[in-house]
Amino acid sequence: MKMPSDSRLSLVADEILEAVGNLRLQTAVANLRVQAHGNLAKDSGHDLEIEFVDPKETSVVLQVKMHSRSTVNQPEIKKRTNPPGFGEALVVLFAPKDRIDAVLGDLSEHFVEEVAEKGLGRAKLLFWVRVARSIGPLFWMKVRNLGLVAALFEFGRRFIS
Amino acid sequence: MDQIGQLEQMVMLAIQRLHPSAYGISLQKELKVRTGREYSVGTIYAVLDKIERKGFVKPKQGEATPERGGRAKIYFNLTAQGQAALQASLSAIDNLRANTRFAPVMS
Repeated sequence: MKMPSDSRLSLVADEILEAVGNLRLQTAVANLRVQAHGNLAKDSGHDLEIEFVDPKETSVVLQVKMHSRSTVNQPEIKKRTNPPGFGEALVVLFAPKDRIDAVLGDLSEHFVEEVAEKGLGRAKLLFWVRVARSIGPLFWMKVRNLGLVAALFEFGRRFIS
Repeated sequence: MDQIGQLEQMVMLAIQRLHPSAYGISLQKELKVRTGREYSVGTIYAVLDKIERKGFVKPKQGEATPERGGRAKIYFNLTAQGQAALQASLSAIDNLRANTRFAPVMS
């Protein structure tokens, strides 16, 4: 497969979302459909390492590097694109049971957006700010629904498990 | 009929504006754009829970997406009771605003 000499490729916005989604899911990055001046085959036998260079509203420039599949460190990609696990655990502890998935999903969606727009470090910081600002209202909501004793009991049960 | 607070009123208006795709993040963004304030995800869900218990909104399970880590969205729609309560609340504000004059602000 021939790589363009300039390895910067322009993608349209919905393809960026798909790229982010694929990274999040740990599916092969080589499956990404790239619309560009390069001719990147879907099943090329290579993985692409993708970095966001210049996010804009309608198009994004990506730095794309090719690796043979064996050299790509998949756990590292996972580490780079998942929200901090301890923060998610805090939400599980404090949020009412029937809203845990929705809240974690929203926080994760914010995180993925912010990794693309602002970089990993800032996205992690903003994730923690969002968690810190959310656990109070979430726990209060749980207390209102279950009563203080039951809410504390459930908190303790989840903490132990 | 149950009273609605200011934040509840704003969330209900945002739900109506975004219908039928109002969920946590879309509501948060709409409120930020329209009011200039960023409410936390927890605050939004606490308000949604409150108005759901009053019977003003109805949740509906949405789709899971990869960027949400495979977790489903919950969409919210106003019920008929919610729409009536919102209209009554906005009418009360409109009545109070009518012919109200503000002193000029000195800069």
